[in-house]
Amino acid sequence: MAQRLKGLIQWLDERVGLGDIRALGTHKQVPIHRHSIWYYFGGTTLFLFGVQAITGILLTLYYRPSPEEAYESVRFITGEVEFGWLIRAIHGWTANLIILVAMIHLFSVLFLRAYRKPREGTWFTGFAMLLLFLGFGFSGYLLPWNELSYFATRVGTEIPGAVPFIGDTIVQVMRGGEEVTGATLSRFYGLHIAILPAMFTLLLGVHLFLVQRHGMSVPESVEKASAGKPARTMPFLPNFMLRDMVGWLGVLGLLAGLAALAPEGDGFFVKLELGEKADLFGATPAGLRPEWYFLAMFYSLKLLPGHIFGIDWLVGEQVGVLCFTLVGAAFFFLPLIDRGKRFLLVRVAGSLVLVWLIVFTILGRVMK
Amino acid sequence: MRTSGVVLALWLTFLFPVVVRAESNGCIGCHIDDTMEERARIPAERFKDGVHAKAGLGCIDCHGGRNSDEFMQAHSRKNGFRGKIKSADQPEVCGNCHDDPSRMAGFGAADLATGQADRFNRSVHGSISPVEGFETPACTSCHGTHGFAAPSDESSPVHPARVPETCARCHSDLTYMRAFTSARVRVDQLIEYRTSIHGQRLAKGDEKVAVCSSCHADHLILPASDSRSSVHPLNVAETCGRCHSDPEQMKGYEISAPDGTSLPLPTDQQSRYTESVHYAAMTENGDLSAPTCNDCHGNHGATPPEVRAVATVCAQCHSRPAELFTPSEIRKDLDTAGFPECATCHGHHRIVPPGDALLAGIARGETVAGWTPLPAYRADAQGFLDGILGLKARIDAVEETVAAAENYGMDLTKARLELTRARDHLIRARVMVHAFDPAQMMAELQGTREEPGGLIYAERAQNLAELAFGERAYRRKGMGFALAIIACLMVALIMKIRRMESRKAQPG
Repeated sequence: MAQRLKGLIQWLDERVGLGDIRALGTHKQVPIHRHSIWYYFGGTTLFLFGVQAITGILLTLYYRPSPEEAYESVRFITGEVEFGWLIRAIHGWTANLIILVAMIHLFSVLFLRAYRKPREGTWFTGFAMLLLFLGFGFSGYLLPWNELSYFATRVGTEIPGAVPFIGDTIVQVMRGGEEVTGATLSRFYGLHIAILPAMFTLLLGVHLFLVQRHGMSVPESVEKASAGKPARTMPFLPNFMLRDMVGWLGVLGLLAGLAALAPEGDGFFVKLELGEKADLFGATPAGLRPEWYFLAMFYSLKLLPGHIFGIDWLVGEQVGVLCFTLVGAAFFFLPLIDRGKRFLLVRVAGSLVLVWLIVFTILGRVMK
Repeated sequence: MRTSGVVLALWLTFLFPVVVRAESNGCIGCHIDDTMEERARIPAERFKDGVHAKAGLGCIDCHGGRNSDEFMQAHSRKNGFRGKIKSADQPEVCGNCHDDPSRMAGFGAADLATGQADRFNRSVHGSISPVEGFETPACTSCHGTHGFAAPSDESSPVHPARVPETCARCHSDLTYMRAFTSARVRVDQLIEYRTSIHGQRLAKGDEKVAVCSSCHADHLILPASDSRSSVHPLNVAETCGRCHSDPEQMKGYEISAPDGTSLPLPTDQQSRYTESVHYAAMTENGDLSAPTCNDCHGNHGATPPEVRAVATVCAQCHSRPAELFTPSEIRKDLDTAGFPECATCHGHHRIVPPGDALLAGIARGETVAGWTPLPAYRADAQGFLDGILGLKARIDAVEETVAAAENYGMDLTKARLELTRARDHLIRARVMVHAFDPAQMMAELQGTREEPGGLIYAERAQNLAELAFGERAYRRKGMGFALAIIACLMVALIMKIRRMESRKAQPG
């Protein structure tokens, strides 16, 4: 058996150059220091994306993207298809975990200043991928075409309407018309399974290439402490990869537990229950809230008055959307903004944003 | 001397013009002449006997012009002469006096109501758009022209005895009515009215009974769809109650009892109705199709339903219970005993929500109308009650199991469907009581060869819920198994890493 496997590896090596790939992995060194734990979150995000891709493909085998059949097909998946409930539960839970892990990854890079030269491109692609995850979450939420998802999408797609001049056009393009209808479902489905994955794959390729190209960033504090001495490292293959796999297995176990014990979500932050089919002429359900990763923005907009300081042209919602855009842009261009000795400012601003995200997400969920 | 001067001034200001107009009505002088053609003479003849002439009014008060013997002066448009007053102008012309309490007092009619023209303008008649070739309704349509008489005068077209015919002049004229409203307009109100108790008594000279204006109002007549209308479903009970809840008004009227004797007509119908399930459906649930007085008694042809016709009246809405009750043995027994079918158990006017308690009452031998059911009926009622309560208890128990399984995140859609079917059968079983047939009741509760009953569906839901619990246990086992494999893999990987790194760390 071992002989046969060796033969197969040799056969492949001769044709695709397995040895070169292996050499690349063993050549790549991962620094060892007290912050090394944060390196694992990038790999975990990638692993979760893999889970999403596999479970998503399996779901498309039964899902039908039309207002007449979407809800029924999801009901069929969870009720009739063998292990359909498990696939949907894992897909739903992973959709939430991936954003959490990606956010941890982003803030760890920010606080360790890993975006500094020459890794600006890695940051840009990474941040863009986080935005794509939010897009995946928003577009996927509508697909079951149930009451909650329908009305949450209706409220969510109204928000860009606050953008001056082009707000209405953005809403129309997002919805494929004036209202959330079958046209919206079609384009959200296309976005979710084709456009976003294609964009994500492209960005992921660039991101991984840049990681490979520049290697892992060593925090400045570690660099200073080593005072020019060569840092301790371990080879990516097999040492780091095996450690990464231990983490992936842990995450897989967590997903298995969550899917088996709470296939319909925790009912607080993560809600995966199918509920009733969307009724386009029904009343908006009371206490409607978006997914947890939009709660901070949702609650902030809710707190803003109709007109800031009572000034007519300072429309609260528009000011809110503008602020989110500015903060988002500041995050995206962070490597360009953080020049010289501005890191203290970045650390304070980053901490404030993190605290705002945590506090407002909780408030957005618990406050009426 | 000064006092005499004031009196003279007042007399000249207010009373002299009236006296002069009345005594020297130049219009009458010419128009009453035998040489005058009929269309000009008859109005003058009628006018001189009417209430307006008696109050001292002259032709010019309505028609304008001058009180002159000279034709051109009298009929000059410059002097405000308008000839025949168009329908659209009548409310304004009549309202000049009839909407003005001080002017009416000036004619010695201070006790007369005012504001009729204003109310007319706000009514359905006052808001009709003109149609070529048809006169729109106006004051004279009902009150006549020139020879106006007080409504209490038998010659007046609005005297109670003549109101139905007066209204019917338009409302029974299909051509006329179609000109202003839809082709489906009713024109049989007068025919129906004549068959009603009200119409029959009016024909016998009873002027206390309701005529058209008693229910529809006189001047402010609004369509039944208008919530301000006295005949809007929400207001019908109060409108009927204006007479039927007034003991003074109803004094002398009687109703036949089941034993053939006569009883004074009760006056508590409205108050009892406001405690009924029908009234609650209308006022609390906003269901305007819920029955009010006219839905059971008729409106224009209002007549109390005969004892044997009660089921027919109720069947207008409650078709399924009526379908079961009509051929039943219990109905025959009730008819024989002279009890009012549905009302025997459900009551009338104050119809309370039906429930299992009603059935329990029959089992005890108690009914609203005082009928004592035969022992066989009582035994059947007890059997029905036990069966219905048994199914209800079973459904409640299964519901708990299903909800518990759902709490664990299991998909119980199919079980919910079976429970819905079981509940349908529970509802059908409660309706089936009206047939008073144990065999049919058993079919609803336990089912037949062809169709399962409520208990079977409840059992199916229970089985599905239990399957869900089994599935939950299976999932947990699967999860445990998967976690064990994952844990083993993790341990193996960690051991491999340690072994690999310790080997490297060893010198040499």
